[in-house]
Amino acid sequence: METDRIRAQPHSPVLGYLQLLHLADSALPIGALAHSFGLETLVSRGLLRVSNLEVFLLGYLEESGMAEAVFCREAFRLASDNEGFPAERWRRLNLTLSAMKPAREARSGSAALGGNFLMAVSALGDFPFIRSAVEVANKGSNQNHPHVIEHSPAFGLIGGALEFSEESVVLAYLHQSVASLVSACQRLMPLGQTDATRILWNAKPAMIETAERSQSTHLDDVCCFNPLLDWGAMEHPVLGTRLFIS
Amino acid sequence: MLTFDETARLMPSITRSITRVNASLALRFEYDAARKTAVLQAGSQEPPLKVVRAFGLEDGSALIHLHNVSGGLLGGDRLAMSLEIGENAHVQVTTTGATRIYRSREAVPPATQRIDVRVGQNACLEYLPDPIIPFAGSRFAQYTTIHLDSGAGLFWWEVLAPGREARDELFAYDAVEMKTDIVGLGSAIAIERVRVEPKLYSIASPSRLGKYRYWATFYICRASVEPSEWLVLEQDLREVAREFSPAADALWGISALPAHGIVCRCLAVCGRDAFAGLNKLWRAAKLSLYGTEAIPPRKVN
Repeated sequence: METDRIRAQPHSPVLGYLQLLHLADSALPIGALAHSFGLETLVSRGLLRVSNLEVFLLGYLEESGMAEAVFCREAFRLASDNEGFPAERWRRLNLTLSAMKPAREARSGSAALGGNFLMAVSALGDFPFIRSAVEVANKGSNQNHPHVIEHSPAFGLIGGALEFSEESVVLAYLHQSVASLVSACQRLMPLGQTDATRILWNAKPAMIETAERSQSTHLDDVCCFNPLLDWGAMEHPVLGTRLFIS
Repeated sequence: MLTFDETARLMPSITRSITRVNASLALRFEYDAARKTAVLQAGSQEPPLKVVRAFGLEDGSALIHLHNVSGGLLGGDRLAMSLEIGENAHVQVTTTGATRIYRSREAVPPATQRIDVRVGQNACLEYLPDPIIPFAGSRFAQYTTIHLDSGAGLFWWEVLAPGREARDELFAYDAVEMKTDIVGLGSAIAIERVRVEPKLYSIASPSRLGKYRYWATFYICRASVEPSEWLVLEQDLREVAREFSPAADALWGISALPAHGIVCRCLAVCGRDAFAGLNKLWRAAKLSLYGTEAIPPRKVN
């Protein structure tokens, strides 16, 4: 049956590995390269430099990364729902995460990436589950409450729908999000390829720790305290010269 | 690491035996059309929470001062406050002083404060408390839920101090957790989930506070106002912040919520800069949204 082309060999670990690598590539053309999520402001104000980038990323993973990991994991688990597409839980998951983001641009940026990611994957085959997720978003929108598809739940949902392992999906999400930030920093500050590679390499243990912590964290207990990053994202709209959308 | 609620769930016997204070304050305000003023209609008070009386302001608002006559919160204290602002009533709430969170003994649950608010149709609540000061070794959790009906307005700030600065006691507390949900016309418009644990995670991280010590959050809402108007106000308030930011060692971030409001965030080295900025933003926003001057709360002892 020519429905799930992407799952030509659904239980082939090698194919699954390649597919996950593909979807978790920070250069996947969904628009991630256009967003800095507040880093551009921090760099322009001298608050973020090459010398403190590693510490910054650690703080990012402990707070924002952790929160996104929990939402990614929760969405992954939605895909194992045998009762059909859990539309209300999916809708609530995205609205909750969106309302947790104080910065308008960062909120829109994540929603753009989530929507683009779902659309890109849905074009790879006929996935009823993923199509339902897009339909729920389209139906639930109105002027005051536009329904959004956040990036981390979109990643988790697709990971679950494509039957990757939960841990690999959460880790892949964290890896691509940190890789995107490092990539943005390469364009914002004098960060060479060697240092960028080293910094991303060194961040991997923190990604694993974050993913492990997220296993036992309930959605109601998610917290996030990255006030400087939030400030950077909130003030990005008025930055003089901007390389990034957020 | 267990959350505060989990700790309480897992240790019910301990929680029962060492709960110091279990008190609540419930206040309901209504609009008296004949007198054109908001009145404190009904209320229940359990010590140490106390409100002496409501004062009428010249714009028809009612002003109340929240007292904690015990002086502060100790580990195991469980305080609850509910505010119901009836249709058309305008109410201003402030505190008589900082909310002091005292050191908690080990195995004692954190001091907890629950705040439930409903702002009725075309009513308005201005909640302008003094800062929260967590002492060394303290643990504190605050859970706030605010519902806004059609046309309801909200000015709500919280300021978290680093500790007792005069004693050089900076970020010596164990944990502060602040969870706030603002629901406008039935939909979540802001969900704040903050847990600060300075002994576990670097507070000076360039993603957290960096060199700053104070953190403030200020919600300015009015349900039913069009999204485009919030974008205009966002820009206007940024201009206001730009006027006072250079002189203060503080950062101000201002951004429209998904609907019905704006959030302002501040990181400041000095608490007085945070409060000075909050007052200026409040005045500008009040003028923009209501066409009236904000009236700074009179403090009483």
